[in-house]
Amino acid sequence: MMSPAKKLCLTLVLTTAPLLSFAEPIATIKTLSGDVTLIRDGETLSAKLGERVHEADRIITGDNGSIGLLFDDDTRVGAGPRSTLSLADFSYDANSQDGNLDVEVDNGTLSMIAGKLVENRPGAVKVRTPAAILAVRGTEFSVKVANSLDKDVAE
Amino acid sequence: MSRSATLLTSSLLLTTLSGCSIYSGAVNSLGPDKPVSDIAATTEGEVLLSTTPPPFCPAVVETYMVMPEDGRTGIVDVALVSGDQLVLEGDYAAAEVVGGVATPFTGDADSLRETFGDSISALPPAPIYVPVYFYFDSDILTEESMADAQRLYQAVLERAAPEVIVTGHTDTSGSKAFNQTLGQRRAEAVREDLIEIGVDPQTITTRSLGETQPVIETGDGVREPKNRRVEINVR
Repeated sequence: MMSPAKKLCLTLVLTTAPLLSFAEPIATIKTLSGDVTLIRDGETLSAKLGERVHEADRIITGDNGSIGLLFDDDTRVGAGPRSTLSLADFSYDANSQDGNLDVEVDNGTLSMIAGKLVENRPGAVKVRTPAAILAVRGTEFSVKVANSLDKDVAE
Repeated sequence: MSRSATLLTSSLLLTTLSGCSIYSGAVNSLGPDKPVSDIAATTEGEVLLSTTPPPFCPAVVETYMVMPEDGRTGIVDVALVSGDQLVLEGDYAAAEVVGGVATPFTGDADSLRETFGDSISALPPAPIYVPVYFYFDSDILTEESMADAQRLYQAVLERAAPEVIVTGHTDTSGSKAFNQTLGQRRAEAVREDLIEIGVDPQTITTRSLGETQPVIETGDGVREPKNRRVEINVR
């Protein structure tokens, strides 16, 4: 039997582990053009081809900017100009292929080709917009969130 | 008590349903009187009203579309904040959401390109997985695999910011420890080829799984050409 102290210790480890996994690298920047900014832990960085992006990163593309990400489960994401995304949540076990991905789109366009997460468990990937939550069951789709403040939408 | 609770619930529901406009309307009409200038009545200037939507509550228009796929059906479950749900299934299945209300429609190649062309162009190419095979007890590629490997190496050079993950495997002939080393030698052989052709060494990762993950299950001590391989993943 486990002693109460051991139990407490295990509980603490189990409950704090998800917090410690915060800010893990989860995807690689594979395409990039124009101005693209990353916001990580309150710091503003400019995105660079080949660099890793982290869980909880926020990505903002400029008027001429676009970015393509390859996640570790092979999910591919492209974002067009004037887009704001947050990589809210990602977990992936390469052996069991289980986990989940949550991407928030506040504005702009996003295209996604889901990878092993969805292959393993339909619905494991979610895209959140101001108006809806989209659960991906298979596999390629696009989302546009157009704010009326956007010049090309206000007409 | 119960009455005020009901009132609270329904007003909350109302705010949730029509959210922003109700709130901004309330702020504008229930707020204190706006100060009026003394000379307002005497000026003859034209009063202009803004025709753009209030920036406080921008109207959000959203569009979702399933992209065409070969041999598979794209399905996306949409759960709207308003509580409505819909399912987009099949090529070009689409919906537009205005003011929280979704209208389904079917798009086509043109509307897909027009609305999402930029984000689709930004999608990275698919990762490649290719096995290459080796001669018995050696880190030399078989003749057939040599051609596959060369093609793959070219594909690496054509990629922007490539990463290559090289995993060596063996059959079950020989000891576990020997095969662990042999698997690593095979992976290193591929790594050296890649470096020679001009791939940045820092982007190549090698590892060996020895005889632990055969493609074809055999007993111990069995020579099996399909298991003598390196799996190359180009990302």
